[in-house]
Amino acid sequence: MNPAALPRLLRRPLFLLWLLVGTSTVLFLATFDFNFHGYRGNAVNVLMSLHPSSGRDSALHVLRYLSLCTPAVMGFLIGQTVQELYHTSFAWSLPGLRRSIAGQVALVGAVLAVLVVLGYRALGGSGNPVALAALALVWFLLGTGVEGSMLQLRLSATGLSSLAALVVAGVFVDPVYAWVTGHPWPGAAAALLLAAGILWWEYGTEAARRRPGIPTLPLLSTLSGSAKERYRREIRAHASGPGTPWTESLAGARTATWVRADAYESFGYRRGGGARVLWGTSALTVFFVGLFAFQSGLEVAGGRAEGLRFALATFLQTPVSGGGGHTPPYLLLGWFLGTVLWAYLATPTSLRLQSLPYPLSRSELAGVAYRSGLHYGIRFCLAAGVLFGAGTAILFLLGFRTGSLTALPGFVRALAVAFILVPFPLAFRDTGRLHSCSGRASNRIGLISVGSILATAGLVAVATRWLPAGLGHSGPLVEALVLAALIAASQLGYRRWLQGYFRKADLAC
Amino acid sequence: MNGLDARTQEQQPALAAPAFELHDLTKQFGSVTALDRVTVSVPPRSVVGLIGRNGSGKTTLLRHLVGLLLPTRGTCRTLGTPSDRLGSAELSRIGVVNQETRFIDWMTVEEHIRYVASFYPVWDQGLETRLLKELELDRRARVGPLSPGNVQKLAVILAVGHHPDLLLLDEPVSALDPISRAAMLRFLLELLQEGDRTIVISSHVLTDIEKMVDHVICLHQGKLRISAGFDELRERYCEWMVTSKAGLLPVYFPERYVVGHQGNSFQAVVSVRDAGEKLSEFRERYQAEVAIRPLNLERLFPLLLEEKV
Repeated sequence: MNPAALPRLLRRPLFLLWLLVGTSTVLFLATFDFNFHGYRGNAVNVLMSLHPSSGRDSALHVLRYLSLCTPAVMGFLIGQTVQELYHTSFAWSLPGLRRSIAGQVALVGAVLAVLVVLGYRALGGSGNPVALAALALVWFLLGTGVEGSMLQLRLSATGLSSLAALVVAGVFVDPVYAWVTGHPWPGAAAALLLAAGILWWEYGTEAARRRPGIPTLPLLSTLSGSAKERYRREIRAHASGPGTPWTESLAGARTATWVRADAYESFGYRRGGGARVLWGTSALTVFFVGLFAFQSGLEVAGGRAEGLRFALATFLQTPVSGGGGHTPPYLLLGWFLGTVLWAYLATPTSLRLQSLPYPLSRSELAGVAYRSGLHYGIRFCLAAGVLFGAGTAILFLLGFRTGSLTALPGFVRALAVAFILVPFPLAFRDTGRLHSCSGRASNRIGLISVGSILATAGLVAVATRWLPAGLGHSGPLVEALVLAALIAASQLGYRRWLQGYFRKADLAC
Repeated sequence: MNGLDARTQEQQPALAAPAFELHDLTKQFGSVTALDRVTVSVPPRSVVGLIGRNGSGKTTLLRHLVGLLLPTRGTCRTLGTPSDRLGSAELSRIGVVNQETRFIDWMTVEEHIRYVASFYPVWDQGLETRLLKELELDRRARVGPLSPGNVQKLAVILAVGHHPDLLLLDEPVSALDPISRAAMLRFLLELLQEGDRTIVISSHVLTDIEKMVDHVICLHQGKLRISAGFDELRERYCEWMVTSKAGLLPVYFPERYVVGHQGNSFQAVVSVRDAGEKLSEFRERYQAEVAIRPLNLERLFPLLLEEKV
């Protein structure tokens, strides 16, 4: 591999856009973490006005959190790019590619670790610089492994490694840093050993042998038609099974029949494939939501043993209106991540316009796309509802009854919010379809996507802060009306968007 | 089920309209102009050879015909309907074989055929069975692991089972082995006997398609080089086998109707255009014997690329 290959990979315009998103994410995570600790003020302000006597603990916490998030997010972004190349089938036969990639990733990580340590110490953090740098390198390498981890997650439960390690590190960031600061040389040695292990696990020969040909879905390429298509093929291969073949006539069929046909094509609707994908991804969604809820619980409960119970209870009780005042942002973020994940990864439905001769006009295609999205939105919410309902029941049976039976209104609210959010990731998905027809439009699509993400973040903020505050004194009827209006608005907007898209867009490359 | 008789009489008048009409059609992908002011009208019941080099715009043109792509400028009408407004009625009368097709890989061949057959009011199961047998395609095979050649066979079966009025074939035999290719060509020739449909074949294997086509559309770098009847082209273009009777043949023939030549001082093969009346003059000037040979499409193709628009 040419020494300049990695910089060249990273020079893509989309990477720069995602870099902006990454930076925002670091600040977002840090701010939320800060708020969860109950500190007053703004995390960034605390950083900028460090004072030896006041706010020392909170500032240190934010510093530690940033020194974890920054290399991890950077690693994630770089890992996306590298893995995209690393998992191609030709990468296996290119001489020296794997060693070269591993070396360059380690080099970038080392440079970044030094920069992180310099920043950490400049802002008042203390500790052995070698140990801190080694720790930053570990966060970076774990970040690069998230993509591979997600890939493994789809294939088996063992793939949680990097992701889980980062989450655990995020939860226990203070104890980890305290230990490394207290035992600098053993800490440095352990971190470097861990870094070498991750490097071997992610980029060694065995990893490459295990993975070539396995499709990846790097975030940077989620807008790439070929990467998505490879992934969809894999989903279909997993989803197919014995069952009844298609027997209905589609000649002059109604939209609803085409929606069923769409599902049948995508993952063998009548073969159990649909159920497998639906439940599997709903479980993944629950995992994400639970992850954030769990973290919030631990944070709010100060890491005490009842953190998990607290998290579950507050989650089930107050998903939106924020009775506890702490969980809604995390929960909404969890919902949003879940819906994004679901729309991007789990519902690969879209008629194969380039391959099959559907006798459908463009307006009919828009109708099918809309109904398909609506259909899966409802199923997604119902599936999540059943799963969380089961959770509630289990909690109740276990004797943890505080609020569990009164959780229903809040729970319905959460589903309603999810339903409001569902069209946004669906719009991202359809934007990806647009992109797949023209690689030349990548910059434009990148901008659209980033804009959409920011808009959605804005919506989450509104739903988090203003909606509950505004509805807090209004009563259930007004709240129901407002939620219904928001659902109608998001659905109508999505439908309009689809109609415009199918009227004007090229539907083939 | 053979429901061809059920075809409605209302569909017949539409056949009188051109099978497709492009007027000043331009398609741009960003800064790349894939089709540049193409104007073409093809009458119904034609067999059109769509030829051109790689990247000349053939596939883009075919995708406009089915409405998957929309013109940047100009218009495209297929079966009398603007291609952006093609509805179920028109699309049910079109069959398409795409150059690169990704069918639903988890289905078996049988399931896939049944699924696509459900799109149409009529489906000729007899034809399906015959083609499966002739092309040696296993009904029980999964689509995913099929070889490119077998995918192409499946594509053809899916495209013709509903007896379309307009059949668009984009490189339909490119991945087939010689035996399958011969079988496919036999079948396509048979389709021509039915005589009530328009077929557009885009292919680089010109020797195959010249047995079928009666109209040629040649694209080059997105521009229309020529759209004319094949017979007309064969009249306009031919080869003269020139043998010197006395003296030497020139290295270069300056006549404007000579569009290419190769040979030596005693014998030459001269490609000519619109030169029917010039033959005796040519014989006299070069004191040569001239035998006329019609051009096949493969020899004609490079000449068409140089045709002035």
